[in-house]
Order: sequence, then C-alpha cells, then structure tokens
Amino acid sequence: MTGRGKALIAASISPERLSCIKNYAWSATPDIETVKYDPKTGLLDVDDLKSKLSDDVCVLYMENPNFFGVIESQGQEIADLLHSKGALLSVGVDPISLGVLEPPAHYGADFACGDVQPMGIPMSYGGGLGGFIATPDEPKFVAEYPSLLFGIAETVEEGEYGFGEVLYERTSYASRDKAKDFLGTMAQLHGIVAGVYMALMGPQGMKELGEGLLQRASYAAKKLSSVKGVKAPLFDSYHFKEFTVNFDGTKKTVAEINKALLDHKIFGGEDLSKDLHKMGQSALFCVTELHSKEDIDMLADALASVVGM
Amino acid sequence: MEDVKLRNFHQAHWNEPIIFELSVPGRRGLIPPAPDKGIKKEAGDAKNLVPKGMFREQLPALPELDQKRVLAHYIHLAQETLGANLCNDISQGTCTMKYNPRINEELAAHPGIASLHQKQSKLPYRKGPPGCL
Repeated sequence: MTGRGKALIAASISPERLSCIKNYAWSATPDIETVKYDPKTGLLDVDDLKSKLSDDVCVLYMENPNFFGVIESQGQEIADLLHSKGALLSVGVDPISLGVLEPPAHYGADFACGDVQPMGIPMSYGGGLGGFIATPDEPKFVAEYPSLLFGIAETVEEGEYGFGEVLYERTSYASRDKAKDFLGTMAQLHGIVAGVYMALMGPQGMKELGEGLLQRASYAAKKLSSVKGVKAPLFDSYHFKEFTVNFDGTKKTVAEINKALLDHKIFGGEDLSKDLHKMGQSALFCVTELHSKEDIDMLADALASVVGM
Repeated sequence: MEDVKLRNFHQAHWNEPIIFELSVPGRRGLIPPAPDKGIKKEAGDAKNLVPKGMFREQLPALPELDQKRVLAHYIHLAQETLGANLCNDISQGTCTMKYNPRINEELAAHPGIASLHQKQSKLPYRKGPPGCL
C-alpha cells in the first residue's frame, strides 16, 4: 500500500508469531526491525519507536493485549505518530477482550487482526485456530487481503441477498505468482463457530465476559503474589487475562516448578526464561471464565507447597 | 408413454435475513459465568482494571438474539449447502472439494484431543477432564 519495504514489529509479541511474520513477510517487507518495550510496564517504548520510525517504514505491528497480557494504552499516540510519517498501524487483538476494551479502530489503527480461537473453539493441541483481518471498508485496503474473500450484494429480486467472491483477481487462481494470497479453508468452519458464539453472547455477553476475565486475572495475580518468592504480575501495568509470574525469589526454575505442579494435576504457565532471558525465571499464566475461585486458590496452594515456603 | 412425474430435486431455499436483521434489543443467548463473589470483592470494579481511555464505552455492534433464533438461523443456512457439511461450494477452492471421512471429525472432536493445549507434552490422566490451569 505504501510501497515501502520496512516493517516495525513490537518486541512484546509472541516469539512464535514474530518468527512466523519474518517467515511470511520477507517478500513484501524484507527489512524487519523490532521496537522495544518498557521493561517496567511492558508497554511499547514510544521513544524507541520514534527513533526507528524512518521514512521507509510502512507499518508497525503490535498486539493489544500483548504477549505478556499487558493492555496497551498508548494506541492513539502511536497511531498519530505513524500516520504523521505516512506509515500504518496494525494491531493484533484478542477478540474476547473487545467487549470490554476499546477496539483498535477507535484509537486510529488501520488494521486489526487476531485469532478466533477464544470464541468457542477447543484448543485441539494447537489446531483450533482461525485468523481474522479487519480494515476500513475501502478498496485500497481490501485489495491487499491475502485470502479468498466473500462479499454480499443485493440481487435483482427485492429483499434477496447474494454472496460471491470479492476481488477474485487478487487470488492465485487468477493472478498466479502475482497474487496476494496463500489460503486455506480449514479456518472457515472455525469462523462459523465463532459467528455462532458471538451471536449467542451478543454485546452484553461479551462485556460481561471481558469484565469477568479482568477480575479473575486481577484476583489470580494478587493471590499468587501472596506466595513467598513469587511476584505477579512482573509488569507494573493493567493486564487482561494473561499475566507474567516471576519465581526468582523462590530460587527454583520454571521448569522445576511446572514439573512439580503436574503432580498436583496442574499444567503450569508458559516458560519465558528461555526465549526472553531478561525476565529471569518467569512464566506466563492465563485465567479464563473456566476457572473458579477454588481453582485459583488451589493453584496458589499448590505453588506454595512446590516452592516449599 | 406413462405419465412422468418430475422430482422436486431442489434443496431448501430460505430467503434468510442477515443475522443482524434478526436482532431484537435486549435478547440474550448465552450468559457467561460470572466470577465468584470472592473474586469480585477482591478485584473490584472492572473499569478500574483497565488503563484510562481503554474501557469500552460503546458496546460492540453484535446482534442480540435468543438461542432458538440463532439455532434456526444456522440450521436454515446449513440446509443450503447442496448436501455437503464440511465445505462450502461458494468458492472455487480445491482442498475443500474433497470428501472428508467422518471418522476424522470424530477423532478431531474427541475431548482427549480437543481439550489439549499445544504445549502439553504428555497426555493427562485418563478419568475426567485434564486439570489444566
């Protein structure tokens, strides 16, 4: 869209996603640079963004909430900064947070994207995925969509709708090697599940769900912090449903703790000590509406006995 | 020549509205489980758990429907797939045009696989759901 070849990516996104992005984006934006996050808050370092925002940058991709569960609050500032340099903002979101958090469009983002898995799709050992993209309904954006796209139009019969391909020429069926796409249809069925989920929840349900997740995560972090040697969350910020837990004070590694937690029939948090060294022995925990107060208290008790304090 | 009666071979034809057109303000389908009282008390109002300016003021533009209406809507749509249930004929794709054996669906949906987190390195105990947190 901008004709530029450099992309900035927030360092606070999932390392696996970063690796995937680098994999797929090499042809469009061969130059990829990461933007640091504030080690205290986990928020994007806007000063670092400013220093890296040259005229050949086309987009910044960041996530909200980010990989650490931190809710990014500087969205509008970041969007304005990028737009002033002719660049775009792309935000990866957790769709079940959007009942309670402002969506990216409300703070100036050009793209919003994410995965529909949280909306009723079982984890399926990592297979329960379905990506989505959202942009303004303008031709210049839609022309870049990397997938088969179905649209709606009126037919000659009054009141009837017709569905069909949109901008078929984008796809490799029409444009072969010049196409925008790589596409797969596995995710369509998951998209239907997500649609049913959203229809059943409605706006009020999504709001109540989001509020409940915020409250559970807040309670969980406080409860875990009551275990000696454990600090949760690591970042001095607002979190959505995930948060980092640091175990440096327990003198035990995440690997040891997770192994011991299995004896309590608990599958522990994601080990961050290897990918992101500067965080010490930290893990990422997630709390959802599937967890009751008893579950969270049980985790805290199990941790207390595992760290031996 | 005998009287030949033509079979009515067309599939169901619903002039189904878009789901948003079925919306009735105030209708609820699913009520998500509320956190326990102890959690609510400890955590406080959700508005305070979010940075300033990030708490959603205007609710998302989702339809408001009861369960029966959602079910009817999707069943109507499901009757318009020319008899297939794992692909849609709207596209000219190739991977979905094939027949997928039903046993695959049973395996994929089995709770032992469906409820697994991708980082679980070994299968949990046999009885009951995995105790993941």
